[in-house]
Amino acid sequence: MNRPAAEEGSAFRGASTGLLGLGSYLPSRPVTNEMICERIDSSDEWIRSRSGIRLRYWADPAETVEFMAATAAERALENAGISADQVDCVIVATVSHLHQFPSLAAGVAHRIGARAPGAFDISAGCAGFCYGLALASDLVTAGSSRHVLVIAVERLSELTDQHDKGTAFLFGDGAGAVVVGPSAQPGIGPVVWGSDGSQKETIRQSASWAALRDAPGSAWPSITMDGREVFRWAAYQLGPIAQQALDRAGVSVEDLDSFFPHQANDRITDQLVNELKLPAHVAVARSIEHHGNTSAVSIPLAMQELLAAGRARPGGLALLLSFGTGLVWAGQVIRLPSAPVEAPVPATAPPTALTSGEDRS
Amino acid sequence: MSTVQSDTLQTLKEILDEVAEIPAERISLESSYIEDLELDSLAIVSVFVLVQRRFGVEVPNADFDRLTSVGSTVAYLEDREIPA
Repeated sequence: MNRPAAEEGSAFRGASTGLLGLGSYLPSRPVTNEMICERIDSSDEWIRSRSGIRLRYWADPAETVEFMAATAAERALENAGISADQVDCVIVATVSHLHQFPSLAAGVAHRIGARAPGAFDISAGCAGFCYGLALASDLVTAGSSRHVLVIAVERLSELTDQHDKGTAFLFGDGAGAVVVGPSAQPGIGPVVWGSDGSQKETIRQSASWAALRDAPGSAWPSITMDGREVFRWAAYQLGPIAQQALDRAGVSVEDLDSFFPHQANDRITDQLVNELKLPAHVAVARSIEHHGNTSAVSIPLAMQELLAAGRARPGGLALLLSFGTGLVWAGQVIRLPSAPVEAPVPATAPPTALTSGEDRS
Repeated sequence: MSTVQSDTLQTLKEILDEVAEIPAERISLESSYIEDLELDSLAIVSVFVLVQRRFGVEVPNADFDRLTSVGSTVAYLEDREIPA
């Protein structure tokens, strides 16, 4: 069915909520494949052919998860033209905040100067941003909140076994944030999400924190992943999940401006592009090449990159699709934010001083 | 070669073209995925994902790890023959 250009996206069924602004933080330490291969028996060519990754950025000790999250949040607020005191809920998606409590969200909310908003963290691994976005949209729709900050932040470099050939090259650090609020036109489609706990061992923390107490001398827990099984799961399951997200939003691939799959592996992206039969006009995120897999951060980071490059159109419809440890997954169609953004640029240096009371984890 | 077998082989050739752009004339029953067709482990997974979809069969990991060639895959799909 051909729709006149003026009505593009008019069939989109979404909540009257939207992404009002977008911001990110890329840390200061560039890490090349050559640097990774000083510790594993691999090569730049092998890493690129298996994953698409050439470069990733790792956080300096002073680039804490709180610092990165707060910086991305401040940038998103500025981009949205919303002040911190208008934020009434802060959701942080992360698996690399190394405290069981309190939540990272409470500290970030305080740090950016928000006035006692609701604040909590969610654990949905690489799907965390899409989970947070769905929660935020529903909070605004229900009238519980007016402006929700959704922040994804990861510092997986310190949970990576730098000698594990299967994962040492994979992950990058950073933060991405959006402000979700009311919108005159539909901006966030229904989420299609789920979990399969029978796959809970597929991507996991190698040991519980309790192992450090119970077995002195235990190795620091790190990410353990059955990469081939994850690839197999993704290759088989993600296409139908993407199609459901499109169907529930009432749009087809022809209506899309761009596609943001979680940047887990370029070859999964290739497969999805084929399977969904994406038309040539749909821009496809490929930022894994120079950011690595930044877990929950990868989608907001890629959105900012494609918007800044002019490849994704402000206000265009985009399909987001993510999956991660659990295994869990989430996808939705959204309308891209319309405020102009600058390209994500890695920090030139880490912050010089830690905020009082902040530790380095 | 029965008609059924050639259909199976034909579909497998189409899948190999789709996954790795391998021309049909390079593929025979003797072709090994790794040595002859130069597929890596992720490409083999992609092949079997499409095999499962097109043939409507479940191929457990333990099985496809042993299906290292085009011929063994065809025999598996037609006769559920699993190589030792």
